[in-house]
Amino acid sequence: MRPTGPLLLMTGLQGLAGGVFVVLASLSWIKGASFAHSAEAGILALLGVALVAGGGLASTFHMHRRAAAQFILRRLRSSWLSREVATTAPFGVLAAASAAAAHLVAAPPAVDLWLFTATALVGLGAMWVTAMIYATIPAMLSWRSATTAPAMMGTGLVAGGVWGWAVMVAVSRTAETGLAIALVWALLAVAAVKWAQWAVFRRARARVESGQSMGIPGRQYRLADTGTSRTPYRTQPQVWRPLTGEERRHAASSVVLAAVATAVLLMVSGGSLAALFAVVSAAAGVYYERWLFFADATHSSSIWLTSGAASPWEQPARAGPPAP
Amino acid sequence: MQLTIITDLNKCVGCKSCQVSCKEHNTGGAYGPVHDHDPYADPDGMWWNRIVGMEGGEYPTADVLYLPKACMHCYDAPCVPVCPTGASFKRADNGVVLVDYDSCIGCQLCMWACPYGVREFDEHEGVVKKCTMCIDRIEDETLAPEDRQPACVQSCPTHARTFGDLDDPDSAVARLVAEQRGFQLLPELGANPAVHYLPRRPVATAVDGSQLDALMQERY
Repeated sequence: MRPTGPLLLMTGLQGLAGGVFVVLASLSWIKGASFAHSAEAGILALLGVALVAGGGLASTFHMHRRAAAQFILRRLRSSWLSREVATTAPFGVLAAASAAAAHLVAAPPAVDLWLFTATALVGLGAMWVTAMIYATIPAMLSWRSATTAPAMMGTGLVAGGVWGWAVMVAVSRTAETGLAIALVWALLAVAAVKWAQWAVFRRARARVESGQSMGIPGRQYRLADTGTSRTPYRTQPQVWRPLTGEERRHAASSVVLAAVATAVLLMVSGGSLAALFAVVSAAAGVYYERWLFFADATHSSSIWLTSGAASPWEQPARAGPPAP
Repeated sequence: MQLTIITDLNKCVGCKSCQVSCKEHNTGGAYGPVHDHDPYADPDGMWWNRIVGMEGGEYPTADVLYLPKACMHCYDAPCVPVCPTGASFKRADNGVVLVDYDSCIGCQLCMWACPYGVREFDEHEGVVKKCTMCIDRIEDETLAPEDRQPACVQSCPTHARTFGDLDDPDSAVARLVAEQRGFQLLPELGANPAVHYLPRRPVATAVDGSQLDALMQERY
């Protein structure tokens, strides 16, 4: 499907925010009460709030008729999208409260500790709910898999964790070796899940490319005409043009390269500069991973739009009105 | 009650009159949701009913098949529960799946959920639209009873399409499905579509390749 900017931003930033708050809460428990009011905690909380706010802002651009947003909680009993709003909004509120508490010296450290923990837990819940939007759609053959939720959550958590680690390294001037090692192990685990997920994507693609009788029993058919002058990628964004092998390889290579670079930067512990590069490589990894997740997804309706031989009627768009 | 349209794939000749009449009916009049904003610059547009052309077999026994594909008005419509605002809904009284444009936010999640790719996104109004089974016609009591059916059914020159209540075992559509082994598209995805198709009957091939080659050589 079409990987639109708001989709990439809202899912990517939410994951990063979740990762930052998990690091903040974990370090608060490990380092004790003094950490809650430290400069590092304050910056981490502010970073988390900014990421949640960015994701929330992007989500409003994903809606094409914002006037109807007032009805968005109507289907809490069945719609994961309603539930996403119901969990991400409290995540944002708690994140803002965490940032406020981290900067108010008067607040007891225990309040900060529990606030950070609650924010991290609600953030994890919001990330899981967001992932379930994609994992529960049977028609999206690539996403209907047990790998979708862990891959999506894991990518966000690790990348957000790397951002959190980078803040710690840059502000406190310490190597934060323990956190770096934990992130490398987490990165390896996410890589394994992503590997499995890409296998699911390949199987989904093969299922459509094999024709599977175009849904018609009794005989194998191949697509000749999608019904109109061009494949309706514009009005039916659940399908998109199939990626070329080269595009897919480039995107996948970029994800792998970003993951390897991030792991190396975590292990070398090279100070602020390495931390800065790690922030960039983690962000690039999230971007390419999410782009590939959407762009390479196979929808069941692709069998009537993109499978088999290209339509002989497929023509490029005309630039302007026909000549008189 | 579950209103549906049954298409006999033996009778459909791919003339696309159902596709065009759908577009014409739903574009015309005061209420015209299926518009083309710039038809000369961009011949693409919104179509609620698309005829997919397919080829099967190899020369000399190749054949073509046309599949009219619009909303299947599924019993377990997956587009309905995913909608966060309740804009996508299924009428309890006649089973027709509809979209309330006033409460649609244009998130397009229903388009991902629909296994058949029959929902279309209107970029200009920011909402998702789809076949309404010509709800404005079938409930219009000012029309003669024989005219209270979808435009695509009325316009079919070969009478390949039949409209009726699938839940009524005495209806024409229920009898066609039962007697001619009507099938659903992609049943494995669990949507349980109301729209059925009547399968192609096997046709014996009367000629072989050498006969065709001889004929082509003789004539051309």
